Amino acid sequence: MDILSNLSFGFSHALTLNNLLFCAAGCTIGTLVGLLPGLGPLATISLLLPLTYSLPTDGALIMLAGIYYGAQYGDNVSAITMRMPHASSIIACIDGYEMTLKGKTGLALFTAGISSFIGGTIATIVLASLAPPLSQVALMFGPTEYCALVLLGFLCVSLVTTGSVLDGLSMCLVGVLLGLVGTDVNTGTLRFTMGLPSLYDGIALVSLSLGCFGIAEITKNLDKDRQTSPFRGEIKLIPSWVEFKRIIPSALRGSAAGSLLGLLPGGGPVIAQFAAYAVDKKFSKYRDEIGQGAIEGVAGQAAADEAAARTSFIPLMSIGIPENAVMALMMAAFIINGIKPGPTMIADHPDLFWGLVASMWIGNLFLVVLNVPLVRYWLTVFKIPYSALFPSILFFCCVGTYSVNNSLDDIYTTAVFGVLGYIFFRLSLDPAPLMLGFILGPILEENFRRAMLLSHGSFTTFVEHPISGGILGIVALIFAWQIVSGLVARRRAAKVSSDQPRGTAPSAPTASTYQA
Amino acid sequence: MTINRDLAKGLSLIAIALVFGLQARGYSLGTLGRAGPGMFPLVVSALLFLVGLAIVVRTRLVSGGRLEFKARNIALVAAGLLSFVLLSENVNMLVGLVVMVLITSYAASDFKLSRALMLSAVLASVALAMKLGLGLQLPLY
Repeated sequence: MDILSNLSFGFSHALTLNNLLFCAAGCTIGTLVGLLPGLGPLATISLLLPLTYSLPTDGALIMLAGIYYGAQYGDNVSAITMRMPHASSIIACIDGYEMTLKGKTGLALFTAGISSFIGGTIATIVLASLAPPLSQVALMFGPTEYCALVLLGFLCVSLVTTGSVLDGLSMCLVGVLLGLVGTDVNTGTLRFTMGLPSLYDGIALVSLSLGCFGIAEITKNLDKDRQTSPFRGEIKLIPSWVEFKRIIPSALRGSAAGSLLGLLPGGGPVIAQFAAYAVDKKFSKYRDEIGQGAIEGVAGQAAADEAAARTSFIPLMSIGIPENAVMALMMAAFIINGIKPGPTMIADHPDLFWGLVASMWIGNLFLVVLNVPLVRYWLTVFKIPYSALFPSILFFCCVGTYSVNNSLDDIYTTAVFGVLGYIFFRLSLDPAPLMLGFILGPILEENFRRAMLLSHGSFTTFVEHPISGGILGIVALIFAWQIVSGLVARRRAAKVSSDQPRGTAPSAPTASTYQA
Repeated sequence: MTINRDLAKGLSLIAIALVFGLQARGYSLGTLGRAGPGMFPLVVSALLFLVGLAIVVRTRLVSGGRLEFKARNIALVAAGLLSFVLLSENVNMLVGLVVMVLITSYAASDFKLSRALMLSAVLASVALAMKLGLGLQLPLY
């Protein structure tokens, strides 16, 4: 039970009055900076890291935790109110923004906050009780297993898209192609870079998401006859009991999906949101409403994102590689204090590690009790007329894109994807599957090539490994089931339309079978 | 002139597939056991080509909507962003900011020069605060 004593040790460090004040300050500043479109948690933490240099280690850690949660929440806010996502809030753009269109911004914001707290709490319990056995999971996943897992992820396409499956698939493939731009990891060949140095590292996720979602959305609003901000400025935060009861199951499903996917190093939280959304769309009691502004669509993804970020500490313990750049920056707070990073760091300094876990949990709690109510005051910004609001948003998009690499050329990429995103919108193509393909594509290519290299070009390797064979079996089952249920729906639709008098609904059934 | 949206959709997807597929032919294919940088892009663009083709075929079966396209606003937004980068690179970011705000504001239905100028002054002070207060490396002046 030394983990429990470590955890309580961590809490005792995090819970001093000074540290709580640092946490509150971090949360508030983090939200303010994170609210700006394009400035995600990573940019915010790297901007604000110097604020913590003069603090003692535990104070610095808890302030960073506060900044992290504040920034992530700020991201969710800009995704929900303006459809300006960052990596951690792509899914929040779908139902969260739809909720804003329905005037339920406050509810969506509260749901995002409380669900991420639920996800974080559950994952912390998993972490404290099951870390040693689960640390082996990461080691069981080789290239074949990753390939199978990514294929399972691609099945989510039919669930995250709001249009037909064919359209979703096409956008996903476009996303995969865009993900290939840049230097090939195996050979160093430059692919599709058009000779532009700013594309050598690939297309930045910020440029793609700000362009395809944010800038396209602004132009869409400008095209309307009455140009107004979709967010009306009224905020009702606290959900009714009925609404609250709808949050819980989704948040729990999201936490489970997130806790599992967080165990795998590389891409955990982002994939987890897509997975949680897909699970909800399939199993939730209110699945028909998801995609049109359902509370579940916000709750599941927020919980999954948070849970995955928390359980990603487990591979960190077994391999010593931080899950993402944000975690790496948190680790940097250790290094500044003279602690050597590496696989043994956690074994040598359990107090600091569990202090970090405790700080993250407290940062999350602070966000819910302190910051979620405060957000209504910051959102008064939206009361200014849209003609003044949208140039400001565009400016912050530029600053956000620029600040990732301090490169002005990246803004060109954002502008290009803004135009492309607008064209996609006019062609009624949905950007969410594009993001899914963009994130999963490179993982698939890298691991597929590695697996084939290891097996000397034999496809049987995917079936011979039990885990990848199992996952591929599930993929095949789901695929077969979707085809069968699609056929059944088509037959039923044909029957209904033949029962009805001629000419009542000529093309509607055909359209709905494509969505099955 | 009306354009079938689904037809336009399928054709643009085919175009994207061709752009990537034709470029991918320039990279070495390799073998399955040692895949080159060209193999994966070629397979994916072939798939995209097929999906695009299927969407084109579908327009024969299902009547798609009409393609609506308003070039004015997206052109103004894109022009604003481009001039922001160009001016930031060659003059400085404050000039780029003012020009971007002026160009993009023109897309608003109730455009007023005085309001756009006021907005650029506010944004300029926000940018200054971000540079001096947060230490953001903005080439403002």
